[in-house]
Amino acid sequence: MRNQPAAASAPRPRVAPASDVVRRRAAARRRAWLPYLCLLPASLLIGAFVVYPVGTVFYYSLQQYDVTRPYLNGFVGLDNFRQVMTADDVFRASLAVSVKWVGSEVVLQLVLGMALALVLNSAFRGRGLARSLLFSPWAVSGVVVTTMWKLMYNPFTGLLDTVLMRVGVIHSPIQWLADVNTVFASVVAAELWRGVPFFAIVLLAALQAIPPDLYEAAAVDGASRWQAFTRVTLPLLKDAIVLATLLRGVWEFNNVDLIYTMTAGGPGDLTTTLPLYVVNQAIRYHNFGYGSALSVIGFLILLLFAILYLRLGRFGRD
Amino acid sequence: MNKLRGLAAGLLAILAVACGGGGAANTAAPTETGPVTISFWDTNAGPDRTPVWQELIRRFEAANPTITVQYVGIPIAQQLQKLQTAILSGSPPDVSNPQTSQLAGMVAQNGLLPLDSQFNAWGGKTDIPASLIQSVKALVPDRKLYAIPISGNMTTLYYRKDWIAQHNLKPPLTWSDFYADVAALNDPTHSVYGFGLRGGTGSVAQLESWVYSEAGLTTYFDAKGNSTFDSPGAVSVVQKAAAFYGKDTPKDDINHGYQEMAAEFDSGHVAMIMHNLGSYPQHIQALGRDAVGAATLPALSGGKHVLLNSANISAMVFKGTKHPDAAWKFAAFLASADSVSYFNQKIGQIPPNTKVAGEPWVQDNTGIQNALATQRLSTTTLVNPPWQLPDYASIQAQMEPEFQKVLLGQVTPSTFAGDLAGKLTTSKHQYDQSLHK
Repeated sequence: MRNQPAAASAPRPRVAPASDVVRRRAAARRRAWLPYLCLLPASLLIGAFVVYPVGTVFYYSLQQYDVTRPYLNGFVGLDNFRQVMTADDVFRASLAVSVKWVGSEVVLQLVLGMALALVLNSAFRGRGLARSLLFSPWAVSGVVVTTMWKLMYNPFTGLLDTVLMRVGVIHSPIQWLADVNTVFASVVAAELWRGVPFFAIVLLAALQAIPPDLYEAAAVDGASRWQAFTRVTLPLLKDAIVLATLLRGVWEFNNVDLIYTMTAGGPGDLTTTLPLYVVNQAIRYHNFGYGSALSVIGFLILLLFAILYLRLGRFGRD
Repeated sequence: MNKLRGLAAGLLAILAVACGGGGAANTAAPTETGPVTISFWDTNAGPDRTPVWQELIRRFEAANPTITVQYVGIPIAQQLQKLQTAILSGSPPDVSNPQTSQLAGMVAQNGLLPLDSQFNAWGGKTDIPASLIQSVKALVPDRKLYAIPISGNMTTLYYRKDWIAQHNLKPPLTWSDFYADVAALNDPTHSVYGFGLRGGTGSVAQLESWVYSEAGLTTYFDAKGNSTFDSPGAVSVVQKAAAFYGKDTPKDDINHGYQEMAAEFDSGHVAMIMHNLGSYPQHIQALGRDAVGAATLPALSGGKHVLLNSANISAMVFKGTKHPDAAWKFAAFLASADSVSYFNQKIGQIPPNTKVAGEPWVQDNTGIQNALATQRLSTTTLVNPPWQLPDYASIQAQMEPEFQKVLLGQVTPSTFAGDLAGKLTTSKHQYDQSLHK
């Protein structure tokens, strides 16, 4: 058999008819659209329920927009921001209360939640029931928590004063929500009761993911319980702690329901956080322009906080 | 391609349903001759008043079988913000029962329907005093009728009549007797206080009644349009109120709105409170008729009274209604003599209706009779708060935390009075200018 040149022996590529090429290109174009089409519903929803409302807040922050004084409404540029930054004492006070509130809530919830998670992670009889009971406050709404704690704080009929007076710790009722020295701590305690289970749930889930071999290896190396906690448990909980504290920090910063229903930010401005001040300005006093400017400032503060926190916490990195 | 089109159509349909939330059913406006459902927002919902409104709705629906009224109860502390937000978002009720003190704000929002033509053609029109209708019209710049009064009111001093008798004291009918009684009945060691102060929601409105009455100020603004709230007499009364706090009142009063204040009185922890006629039935139910005294705010030393007019509860129809005929029919029903009689008898307030004024229950109500008798005295001056200012209620709300600071000693009474006066003066000047634009 005589050798033929390779080019001649190889099957010649079939030249597609022009109609096939057109069809394939059309199919390729359709496939290119498909991902966008699939993204469309989510994009529309995000646009309608996130981008539009947030954009509206930015828009109104540049307006004088008070529904009870429509004759003054109009574009004011950065005037609202200027007033917030230079002439608003309540803004500065509310920001300080917010920092104090978030700091105390997150730190105390983390410490108590960690303790609770460690207890619930150990084996003991009735652990299932204990877990259910201890997690139940997380499911209670802020308004119900308020009602419950306000009843306990009542100076005439409340459980707290009654018990303290009967055991002789105090001789006259403490006005928990009216006294400048106790009101902040009283609201913190109520929120703590509701918030600790969140940390306990998150940390317990992370604790259960730690392989027992690591503790066995640590024990073989002679590590004490404290050393096992600090050298094994804590490093492996880092991501869970960073994420939980970030989420809780943002939620507590934005917390309105419990404080609003318990003290409405008072007495005076002693428990007025920044979001509560926004609610007062926009909803109670109908000054939506000024309230929007405060919201934009709160948004920027949270954004900066989240970015810095994740970077400094080296989230997701060993 | 067809598959893609189908997928897209399906996704958009799902999205439309998700976003619409069954909107088709809501937007299809039934004809006025067919069955119609209207919403009614009660601005003072609670165990005392909700059943009264529900009974009125039951009566209305029995007389108008094609109209269903959907009752929505809102606690009084949130009602103003709920209504104003609802107007703003384009989802107001068909009918509601706010006070006329809120009228100007809602008209400024363009949220209410003028009712002049319907009212003029209404048979019950002549039962409502023409002067009252004029005073309601005078609250808005266009002088149209947006509210039909269904209940009148008056700031009232409630006191423990039985304790006053036990201590051989004089009833607090003058300001000097009031202060003497508070001091004599104050007994903090037994958790009993001379006075219950409203320091939370609604505190500034209550304080204004006290200040104008005791200071004897007969106008809110002077000839130049400046507020009189920072006058020396007014500051002196704010000082007295602040001096009461924590000594003659429970410290917890700083957070108290109406409900907490009333509960304090009804549970026997305070000897006196200032509220309005509307809580009279609640107090006599809790303490008994013989234990409760109800009078207007006390007289000045010469026997002269200066009293702030109280806002009327009124029926208002909202512009967003899809059923204006049915909404007006319900509003007119609420303002009719029968409804006004039933409602006011139940809540203990003044019926603004000539047909009802002579009914036996009105004569038997001590609080109403005292209020009417004092109003008729030639020595009584009635002062109108500046309800025509659309932001008046907002200013009062803004000043509530400031009043708490006065009670805590963080702000002086004169600073507080000056701040409130400044806000009122600015508001009046801005409002007056807007009328001349």
